[in-house]
Amino acid sequence: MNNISLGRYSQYDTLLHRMDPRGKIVSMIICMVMVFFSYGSLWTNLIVYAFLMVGIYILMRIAHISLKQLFKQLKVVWMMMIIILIINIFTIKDDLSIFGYVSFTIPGINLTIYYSALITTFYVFVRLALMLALSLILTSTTKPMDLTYGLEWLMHPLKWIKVPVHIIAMMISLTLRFIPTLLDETDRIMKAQASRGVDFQEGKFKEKVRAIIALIIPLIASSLSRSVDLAYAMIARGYDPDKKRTRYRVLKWHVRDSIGSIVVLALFTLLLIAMIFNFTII
Amino acid sequence: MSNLRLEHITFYYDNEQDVPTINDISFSVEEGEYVSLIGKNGSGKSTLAKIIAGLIPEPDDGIIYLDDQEITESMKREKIGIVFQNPDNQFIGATVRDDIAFGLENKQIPTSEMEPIVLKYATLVGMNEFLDKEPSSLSGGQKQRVALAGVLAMAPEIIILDESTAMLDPKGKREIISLIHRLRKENPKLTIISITHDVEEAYLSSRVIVLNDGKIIMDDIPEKVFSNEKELENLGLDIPFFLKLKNELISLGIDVGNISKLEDLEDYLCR
Ligand SMILES: Nc1ncnc2c1ncn2[C@@H]1O[C@H](COP(=O)(O)OP(=O)(O)OP(=O)(O)O)[C@@H](O)[C@H]1O
Ligand SMILES: [Mg+2]
Repeated sequence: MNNISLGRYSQYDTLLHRMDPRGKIVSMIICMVMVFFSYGSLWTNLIVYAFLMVGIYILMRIAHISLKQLFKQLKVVWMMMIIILIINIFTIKDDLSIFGYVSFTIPGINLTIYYSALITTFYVFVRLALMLALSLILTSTTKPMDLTYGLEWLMHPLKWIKVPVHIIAMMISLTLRFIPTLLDETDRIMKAQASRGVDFQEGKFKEKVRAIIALIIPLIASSLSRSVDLAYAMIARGYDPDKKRTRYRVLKWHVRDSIGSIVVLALFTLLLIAMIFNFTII
Repeated sequence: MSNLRLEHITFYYDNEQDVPTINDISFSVEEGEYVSLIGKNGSGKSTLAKIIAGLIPEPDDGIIYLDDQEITESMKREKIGIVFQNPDNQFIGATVRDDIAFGLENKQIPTSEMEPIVLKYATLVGMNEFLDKEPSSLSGGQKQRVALAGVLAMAPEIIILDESTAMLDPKGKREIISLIHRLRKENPKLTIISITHDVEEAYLSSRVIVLNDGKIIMDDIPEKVFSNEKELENLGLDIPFFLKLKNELISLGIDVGNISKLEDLEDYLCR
């Protein structure tokens, strides 16, 4: 159960930890857009990516995130990358030239691989890695609670079109609150079922399905009874979704948040201009 | 002045029931009383608690009065607090401080006034050093203390505890029970209605009500109620260890006089 580290807050006191969640959320979205843009020629693209990589790596260092943590996240991506690579090898046949070559052939099986296929796969990989790095930075420097507050604040305009933003935010924060509880519960049920002879590790497909059902059914049942209890506890303490509530935690925007956001926006504008004018470095 | 008064409360969970879950219950609780509500599983204790706390808004029959005035929804919310059994399922905030503040947010206490209240009640229950802890890093007893702080912070006059110690280890249990006794000392006006299966805990309260099949069958001071050993046994209820021991001694012909505490009995026997 310990490999679910995306979304784990890490207890440090760094500049990034102290930044306002609203600024961080918006900045992360902007950075993700930057990562997804394509910037003209092959070499320009590579240079911009190298630059983004360095920038994001510096942020990771500030946030005390090691490359190891990132690679752990990437584990999930490997399978996907291999599939994308295979698809690309067979479908992408652009005459993108690298050092004067367009393709090469693997001798034994007579397969011609275009460099463009490799490069495209590489882009996808880099983009995914950078995106994961960005979300890792956000979630490990921002408490889930603050993240929810930030999101609620940012979604505020949606109230005008009658979206119940505060209820959605409450749902998110309750979900976050109960994730550890439900993980514990899952663990407990797995142990209980294992002691009754349900095998979660091995077995044929049919047995695996049976094992999963033996886990899911009690988990759903207990979640339902928990949610009833929780609803009673909330009502008893005066929660009414239709009523106004005051806030215990209020987000505070500091000068550093303005500076951070301006830096990100400036970079974004720069890259946007570069892209629009098809500015080619090499 | 009688604080809380129930008159002929009757409640059915669904229309096809022949016997109501709560069957014409009337009783009153004075300000500052510590009432234990005992009864076997399914006797209707939690249902009654939910009716009093307003979580079941409309019983099928009967009226609840608070200070001789018919109670309203908002009065229930404001004056009656309830702590439940499962410590995990009533921890709403992300951290101890957020959880204590949850009720204050609902009560629309201004943000600037919340922190002192949160601190006050966290300190009262001895959780002031854990303010930024998340529930997953707290023991069951600590979580229950936070739940109690969250309820107390809303300044209720009556607190209902629905088996609030049932899921705790002996240490957690003792913590909560001694906390309740301390609260009563510090605030003699606080009324406690405690639902429990723990007869030792009930023995320490000022009054015991026994519920069976939705009806009150006994309502007296603990010594009197627990003197009906046979009757309670037939209901599947135990009596406190001390009384058992005392009865046993008496049946063996050992006169123990009118000792009413286990420690005194120990002293007496050692002499
Ligand atoms: N939501 C519900 N819908 C229908 N019936 C219910 C509901 N909750 C409880 N009951 C039934 O009402 C009766 C009284 O339940 P209640 O929970 O009040 O008992 P209790 O005295 O608190 O028992 P326990 O000691 O097990 O907590 C039981 O027979 C129960 O099955
Ligand atoms: Mg109950």
